[in-house]
Amino acid sequence: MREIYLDNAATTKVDEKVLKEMLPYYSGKYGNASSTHSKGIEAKRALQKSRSIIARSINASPDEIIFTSGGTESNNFALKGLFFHHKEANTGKNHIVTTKIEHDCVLNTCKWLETQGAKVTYIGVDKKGFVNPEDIEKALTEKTFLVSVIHGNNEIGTIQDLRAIGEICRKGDVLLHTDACQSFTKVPIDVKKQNLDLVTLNAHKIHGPKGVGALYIRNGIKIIPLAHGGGHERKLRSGTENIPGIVGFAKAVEVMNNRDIRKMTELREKLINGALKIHGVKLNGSRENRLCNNINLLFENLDGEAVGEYLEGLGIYTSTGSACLSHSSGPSHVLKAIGLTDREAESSLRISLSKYTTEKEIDRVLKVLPRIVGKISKITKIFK
Amino acid sequence: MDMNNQDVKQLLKDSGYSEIAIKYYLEKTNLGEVKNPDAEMTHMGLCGDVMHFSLRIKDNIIEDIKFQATCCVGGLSAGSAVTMLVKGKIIDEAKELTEEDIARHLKGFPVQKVHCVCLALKALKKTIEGYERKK
Repeated sequence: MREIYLDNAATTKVDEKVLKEMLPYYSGKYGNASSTHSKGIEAKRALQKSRSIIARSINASPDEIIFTSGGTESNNFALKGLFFHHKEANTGKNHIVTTKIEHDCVLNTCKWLETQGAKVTYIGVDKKGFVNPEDIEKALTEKTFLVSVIHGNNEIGTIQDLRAIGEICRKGDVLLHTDACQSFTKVPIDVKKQNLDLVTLNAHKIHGPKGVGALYIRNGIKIIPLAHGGGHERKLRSGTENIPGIVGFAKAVEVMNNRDIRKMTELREKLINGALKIHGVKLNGSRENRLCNNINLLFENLDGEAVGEYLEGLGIYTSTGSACLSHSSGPSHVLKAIGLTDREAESSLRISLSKYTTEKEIDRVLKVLPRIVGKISKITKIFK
Repeated sequence: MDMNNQDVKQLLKDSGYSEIAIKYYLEKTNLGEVKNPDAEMTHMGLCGDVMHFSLRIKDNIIEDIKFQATCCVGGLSAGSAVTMLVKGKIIDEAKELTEEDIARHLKGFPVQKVHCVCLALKALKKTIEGYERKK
């Protein structure tokens, strides 16, 4: 059975060009970038080159890129690092404005920071999943030090208007952080034009390796590090740099191109249009300003998890917006934030494409989906 | 909050579970492990729930079957239903079992728990497949 991987919002296959670029840094070029001998200098050069590639891709300076272990660490670093800076400097600022559709690593960091004295406002979104920048403006107080808004949502693919939010933040003298793990290389990011102060990036969503990410921190921003040690990464993130991972991360950025984005967009549209022809199928999120690889379908009055189970039985891997208690804590907070009931959230399924997704694979999904919906409808009718 | 069996029954009934599904859940029907099984396998569903079947098979007949699971009420009821439906059956008959058969046996079940039926059936079929491969 040929496998069809459509869970690329979870993680992606490493590009062969990326892997090829990484391998020498595990074998011959294994030096520590902090060493002063030639092996170390070789590693340091690779580190600097990678930093420049990533910086250029978001119109930042190389010294504004801090490498981390991935999106979760970068988000934790941004939020905790800024909060503790304000606490230590006794600025009196302890308020964060974020949204209800952030990734768990932002929401759970906020919840933890609340136990440390932070005040957090969680802004809602409209039915399509968009944040109204005016709501952010209204939420700002004199104690607000940070607005954190996810760029491309991991569940419903909504792309937020960072530029508009950035202008509000700049006007209110508040920093803007965005989690761009899903949108990076798919949607243009320009830290200057969009007024971004901190940006979370990672490698494994863009055909790079797992365990490596970055945080863009605009020059001049004061932040407390999470990891203290040998003073790596401008003393902001101690720990020997993961050179093979970082080299792979940069290569992944280099190999992404507009042709891949166009292809994914076309296949996304084909899958959405085909799926919407099936009785009782709706699209969660927006048709416009949506990540090129994200599809989130609602199967009315059916069990989304069962749709995923049947697809998996055919070698097609997707993901549900919800999970049983053994895996998470109930229906998706993102789907609930766009107004879905628990039942509707549990009727949803996320399909996420990659540059490797083919038209043949989409045709296969569209061929089997009506049969699966029919089968689950039949079982559901027996239960009723 | 303390709940007695009656409260639990009512809660599950309100959620869409049938009398028989509730009975299986409360009585833990065939929950456990067959000693020295001829076939056993653990399967994880897409939702992250895990189900393990152990079977004693003699002359191609499933003489005994038990299951263990880390899952919700739906999974536990569906697991019990599968054991009730295939116990005493020949292997080929068990292989023919469908989700619809389980649904008819359970009668009422919450709409959002169809995947639990899929999980239980898939776990059983994988156990049988493993047994046949080993033979």
